Amino acid sequence: MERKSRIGLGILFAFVFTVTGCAGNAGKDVVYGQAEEVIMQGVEGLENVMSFDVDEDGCIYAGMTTQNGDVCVQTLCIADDTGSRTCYTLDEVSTPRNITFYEENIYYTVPEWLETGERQVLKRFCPERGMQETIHVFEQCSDIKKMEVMGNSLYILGTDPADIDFSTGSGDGYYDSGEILLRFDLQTGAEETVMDQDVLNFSITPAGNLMIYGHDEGGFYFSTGSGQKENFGEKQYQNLGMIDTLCACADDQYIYSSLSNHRNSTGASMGGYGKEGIIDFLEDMEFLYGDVRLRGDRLYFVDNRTDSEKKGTVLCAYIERILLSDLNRAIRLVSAEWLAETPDSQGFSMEQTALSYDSFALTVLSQDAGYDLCILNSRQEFAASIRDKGAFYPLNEIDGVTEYIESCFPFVQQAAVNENGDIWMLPVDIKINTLVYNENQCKLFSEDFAEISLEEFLYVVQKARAQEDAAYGIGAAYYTELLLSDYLMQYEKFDSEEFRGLAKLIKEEIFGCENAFSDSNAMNRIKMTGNEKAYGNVMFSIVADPSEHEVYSNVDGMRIMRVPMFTEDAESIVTCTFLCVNPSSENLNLTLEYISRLAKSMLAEEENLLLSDAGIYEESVYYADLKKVCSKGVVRFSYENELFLTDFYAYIEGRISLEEFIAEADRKIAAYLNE
Amino acid sequence: MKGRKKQMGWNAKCMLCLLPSLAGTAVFYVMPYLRVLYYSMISDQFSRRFVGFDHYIEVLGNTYFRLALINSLLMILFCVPTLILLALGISLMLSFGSRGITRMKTAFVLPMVIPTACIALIWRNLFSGIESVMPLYLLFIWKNTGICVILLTAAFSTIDKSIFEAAWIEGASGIKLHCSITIPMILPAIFFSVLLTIVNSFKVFKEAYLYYGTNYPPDYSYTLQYYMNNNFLKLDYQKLSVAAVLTSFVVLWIVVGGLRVQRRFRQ
Amino acid sequence: MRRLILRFLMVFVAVLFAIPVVATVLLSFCGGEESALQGYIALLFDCFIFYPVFWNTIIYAVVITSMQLLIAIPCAFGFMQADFKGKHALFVFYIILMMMPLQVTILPNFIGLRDMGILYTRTGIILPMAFSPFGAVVLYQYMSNMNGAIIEAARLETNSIVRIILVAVVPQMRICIFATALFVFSECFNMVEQPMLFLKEDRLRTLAAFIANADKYSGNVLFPASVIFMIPVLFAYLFFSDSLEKGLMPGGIE
Repeated sequence: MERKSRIGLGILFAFVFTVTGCAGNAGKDVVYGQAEEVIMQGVEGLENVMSFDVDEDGCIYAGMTTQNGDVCVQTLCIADDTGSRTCYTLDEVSTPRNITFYEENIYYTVPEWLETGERQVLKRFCPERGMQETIHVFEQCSDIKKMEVMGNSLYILGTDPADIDFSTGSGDGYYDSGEILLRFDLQTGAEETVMDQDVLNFSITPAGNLMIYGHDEGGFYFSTGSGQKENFGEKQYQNLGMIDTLCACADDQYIYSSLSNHRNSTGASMGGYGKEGIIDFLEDMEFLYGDVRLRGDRLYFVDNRTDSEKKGTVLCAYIERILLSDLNRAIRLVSAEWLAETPDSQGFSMEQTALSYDSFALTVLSQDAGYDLCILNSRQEFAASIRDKGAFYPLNEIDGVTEYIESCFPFVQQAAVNENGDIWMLPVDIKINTLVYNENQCKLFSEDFAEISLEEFLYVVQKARAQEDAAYGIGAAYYTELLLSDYLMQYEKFDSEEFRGLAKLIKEEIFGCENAFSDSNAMNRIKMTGNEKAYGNVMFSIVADPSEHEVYSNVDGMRIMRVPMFTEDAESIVTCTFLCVNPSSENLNLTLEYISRLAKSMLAEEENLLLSDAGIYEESVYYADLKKVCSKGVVRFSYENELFLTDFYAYIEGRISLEEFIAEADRKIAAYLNE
Repeated sequence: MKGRKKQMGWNAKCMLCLLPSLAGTAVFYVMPYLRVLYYSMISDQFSRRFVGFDHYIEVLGNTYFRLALINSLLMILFCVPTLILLALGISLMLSFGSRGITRMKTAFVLPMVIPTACIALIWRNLFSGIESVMPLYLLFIWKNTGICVILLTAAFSTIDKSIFEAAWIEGASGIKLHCSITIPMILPAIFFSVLLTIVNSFKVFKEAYLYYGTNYPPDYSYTLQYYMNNNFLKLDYQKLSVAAVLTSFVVLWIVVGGLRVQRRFRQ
Repeated sequence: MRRLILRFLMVFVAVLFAIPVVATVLLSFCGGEESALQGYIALLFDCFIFYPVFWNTIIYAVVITSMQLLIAIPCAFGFMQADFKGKHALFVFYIILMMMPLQVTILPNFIGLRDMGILYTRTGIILPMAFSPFGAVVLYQYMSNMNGAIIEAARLETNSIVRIILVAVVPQMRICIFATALFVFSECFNMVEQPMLFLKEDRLRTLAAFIANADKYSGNVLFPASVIFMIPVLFAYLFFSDSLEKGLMPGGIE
């Protein structure tokens, strides 16, 4: 029996040991490619390229349409890397497409018009003999999207636009557009269907396999196989949406471009089975289209940048500089409740989760390795705790961050650096409330409108309200909130004669009019019709949103001033949205890489209002005014106004007296600050 | 010799019965408690410098902690005896009353299962404008009497019936009988009810929070749970864990005292 | 006379206790302008998350209650019968652990469950609740009144501790076990924080959490859901109450 109890004890220990021993095994390595110098060069003499192919030696076969007087000539150029160019004129009406080079011959497709309609034909051109011949007519499809060669067969992705069926939507954005994957044997001339439905794209891998991207009841998937029917590998489900361009870099890696992909904001992305990454030189490509070829470590594609001098040329770039991260390790962003100010994704895949306050606290306090960044806003009461409790990864050493912070307004710098000199956050957005006013109209109210005091301003508001057609925007509740936060910047308590005066002013002047409380727009006389002309009549309005500034800055006579406040000539409270890096993130390297890119790109942004010397501030008097207000901003990390606002409205509505409000609000603030 | 061996075997078997519970408790309750203890002595969750009792000194010196502690103790002092007496009275009536009365017991059970959100809404309408902690106390008593009634009623059922017969023969009856025999017999169950009520007084925070609709209720209902919850939301886990450790000491004191009383009564 | 006063008092108290419950039921029929049942229609026909959530609650409650009893009955029995150094201290420790406020244990439990890999799963909700020291403590308190002679007699018959518990302990303690079960069952029903914080998906959560967020769903579903919420516990109670009546005898208070 004693032995039994010992066994029992042993089991107990083993159990406790196993259960507790699971702790701390998180944190796996991330595939992370190191960046090398990128060389991207245009291939001279190849402009307005519609279609091209590249052979093993780097020789480019490009089809283009050139203007010869009034006549359009279809040309086929062969450019090898020694710089020699040979061009042939093809006897075609339309541009040759889907150019594919195979054993001294160039294959391409062109439409052919018959009386019965249009059809696609496959042609062969032999440069040596200058001979051009039709070798096949496609019966099954009216358009050819893509053609590549493998072995001695051409693989062809055709569609039949008549077959597009949007109704087959399966909830993930997929619809059947009648795609069909064909194989054309160049020796026997036989056409064979490889897949006749639900195939979206394909690419031949460098190892000579066929990669397809398709869709079935399980969603979008990739699969690689030898190219024979029924001979594909395991389906790798991966939702990249309806991708438009696909180029395989390995049997399980690819470059793709998708307009409908929700994950990415940039033109093209790199991906792998179960992985996802970015190709940063492709970031400024709006979209990759048409033929993309990978030969060795060189990627060939057509330049489509609208502002590029080389638009339409074939570009060649080395693709060493590729960051490949695990697909399941997208950069994970958490916030407490929903914050609208999302930073740019910089081509990384981002996942944002809005947590409840409780869950947010749990996530941060438990040092969860499963999130990478938290996005906060200086008005959230726990924002400063992140700094004070050290729940951040210091960004001083990160490339680009210091430069960015130093270029921001001094008050932003002050907020971003803690007392030890650590950069604890990366500011991504500021919201500063300003009063936009029309100089010419407001002159009538006051000679020196820019220096108007609160009382005078409220008097002006009364006058404006009396005019039937006056357009102005002062949200009563919003303005009240601003006034109260401004008051609390100077005073610690509501219990003061000054506040009593202010409170009465708010109650009588702002909420004095009918319906001011029930209808928060009662003080807003701007009709948001979407018509920009409406802004031209605006006398004055409180504006915080950059997009609104954009509109107002185009209106003649518009100026900006600090919103008239109780405290005159003081700083304006700025709401700053910022990112903090989770120091225990399992994805730290990639996250820091992201932060570095983000900082650099924000630094280069002309319209970034955080930068004290942003180009936009030079643009007009309007923006110069904005800069004046911004440079006197201050970020305050403090309690949320909710702490006293509800009670203040109770006072406005007359449910409690002013003294009751003061006692109640001061009590709550004291408890908040001292508990 | 043989008998002794068997004795030990029995004891070991009984200890084996404890094992599953011990293991689970160790993982899900002891470990967390040790973690809390550890957190109360480090500077913060991230740099983890050992600071000893610094946080304790800070928290004990905090006005709001003391206010919260006093409010929580007041609630226990007022509500627990009231609730236990009420529950005892009701369960005596239910157990030994006539059939008509026993049918009413469902009324006491129902409050136990009314969802928080729902009852806070009703309470807010019932007691709007009353500025006192009483509505909260009433809510607490109303909600938690039922479970104590059930536990005590069940305890009555374990009493050996022969004891009553003996008492009847001696001529004891009515309230006297219960005070001298029944209640001391179920003292452990009463003790447990007291403990449970204290735990539930911690849980009434859920209702209180919805009743007042703010993290900063009037000073008279600012309990330890508010203190803990607010500091949690401010990401200040250290204050929370100190408050928790101090609470567990108060609880320890109550438990040891209670067990002592129980033992004295039984002798 | 005294009998009448007592009876009147009892009725009065019972009515006081019942008023808010009755109010809830009445309010559940006042949800809409069109018909009294509008709230129920919104809940039962338009709010599909309600069904998984309802069954989750039942599953959690049943699984936790049975596991808790399986663990707590031997544990309480062991506490009573075993004799070892520090038994008293261990028991006091159990009580202290049982009394830790939920706010305190949420974070360490979150970390613990995450490290064990059962966070955001049903298991992560069930295990901590099933191992709660509550059951063991209350059953041990009850067992102090148990008739020891029956156990002694059973020990002469068999050597198996499982049999002894089944034959000598469980029948004696039937009502107390029912009471404990009812208590655990209603605790599970009322849990809100754990499902809200330890689970990510709404469909794994419980009815209490659903009701706590009732304003997220369309229609006036709060009160109808509350009424439906009460029904299972009420059934459990009625089941218990039957056996309770059989186990009691009149003691002559009146």
